[in-house]
Amino acid sequence: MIELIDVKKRFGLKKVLQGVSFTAPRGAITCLTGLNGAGKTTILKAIMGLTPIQSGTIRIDGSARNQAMYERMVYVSDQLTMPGRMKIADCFSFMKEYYRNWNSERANELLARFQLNPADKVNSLSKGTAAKLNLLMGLAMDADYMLLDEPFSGVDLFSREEIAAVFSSEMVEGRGIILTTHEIREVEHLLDYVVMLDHGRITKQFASDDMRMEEGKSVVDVMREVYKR
Amino acid sequence: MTYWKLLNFELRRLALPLGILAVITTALQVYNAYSQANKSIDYAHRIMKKEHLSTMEQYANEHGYFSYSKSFDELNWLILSIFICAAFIGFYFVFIWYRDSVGRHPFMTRLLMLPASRRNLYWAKLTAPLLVMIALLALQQLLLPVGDSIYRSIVPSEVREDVPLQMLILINPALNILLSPSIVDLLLYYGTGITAVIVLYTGILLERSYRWYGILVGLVYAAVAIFVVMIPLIILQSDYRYTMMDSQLTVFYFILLAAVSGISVWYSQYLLAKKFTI
Repeated sequence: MIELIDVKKRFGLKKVLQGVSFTAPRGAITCLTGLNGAGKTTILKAIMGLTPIQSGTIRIDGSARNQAMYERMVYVSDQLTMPGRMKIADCFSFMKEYYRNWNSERANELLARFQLNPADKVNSLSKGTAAKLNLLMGLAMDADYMLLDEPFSGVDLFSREEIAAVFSSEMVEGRGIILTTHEIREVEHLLDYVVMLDHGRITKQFASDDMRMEEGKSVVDVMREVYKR
Repeated sequence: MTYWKLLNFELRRLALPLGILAVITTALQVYNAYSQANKSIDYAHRIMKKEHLSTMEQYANEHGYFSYSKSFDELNWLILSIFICAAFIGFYFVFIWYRDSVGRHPFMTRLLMLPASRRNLYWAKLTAPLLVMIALLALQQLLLPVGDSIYRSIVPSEVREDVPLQMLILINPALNILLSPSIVDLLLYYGTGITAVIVLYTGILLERSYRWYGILVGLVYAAVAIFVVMIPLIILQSDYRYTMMDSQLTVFYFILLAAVSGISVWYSQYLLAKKFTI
């Protein structure tokens, strides 16, 4: 379980996170939603230790984060995090060299599924192809948790469907997933928990099944209520 | 293990620039020897014609000998090649951090998430350009006899004065620093240079951690580091000059270099582990 307790973060004088607390269980998909600048990406980066927090606690399965946990947690950024001149095949070699939990078999399976060419260079990929490669590199790691930042951003309809299909496949089974997205409709039926953010504060958090059963509202309905106020 | 992998990775990225620099350095130094030799011969022929001298021996008796060393006591192609290499290495010490942090593909995100201590990353980024610098210095040293051979093959022995290669290094002010024959001087120059790079890295990491505020703090940090390292030089210029012997001042200088380097390395690694922001 990933736990955030009263996490605060500032960029200069701007308060980006103002006491954020939530838990994301393993084996469930937790979605962080909010308008631009709500602090979604900052939360993911803080969990991954890519940006320091001013105060609060972040725990992974009850322990403080450390470098060894990068084999248990994967961050899939909305940008490709490999050098532009590297070929896809070289990216795989790099990952295999540094991560013991890199699953080459799954990587090749996804390569075929997403129809990627291992000889293509990173900087030659379209936005949609780059998003698929990003997701591939996350899924090819045998990690307990996956943090995905806007996996559908700038991606065409067909690629979006391909990516969304992965979230209902056996590849994510048993993993804890934290996802930020604006394209909520694509994955709404898969979400277990939703955390709604506004200007660095949590405005609402709920289990999507409970919301549907008890109040008869979909995630999009709740988003409309919260953000159109 | 991760350190060696990262170092290998960084060196592979540096292979092309190193190759280009090696070609430029070699070309400039070979051209330097070739042009100096031809200049000497042309000059001798001009004078011989003017003074009606028939042999090179006669020229040498009247006007003295030519030496490859003469091309080392002035600003020339050799200095240009050293300057190009130094400028590239200097630029690369900064570029090595920003190349991976900015742009469409922030590779630094991946590097920070490697399942090993971030200290490995710091040491790899520090040692890779230093190793390239050492490789270029080795090439400079290798090119000295090559240049000398070219010079010998063009200028006849009758008008040529052969000078030991060691002398060539002593004559040229740049080579005298880069390839100093004195071990203490060598340690002094390289110790100062490496400390400067370590302090520069601390400044860069401060900027990467705190952005504009980090630049300000980095500048103050660098100023303090420079002041501390310069204390022995200040003593040397002051009325307290005679309170310490030269050797004591040198040891004092080394201690200060080690202290500034040690603190800067520790602080840089702390910043990279805890404060670095992508």
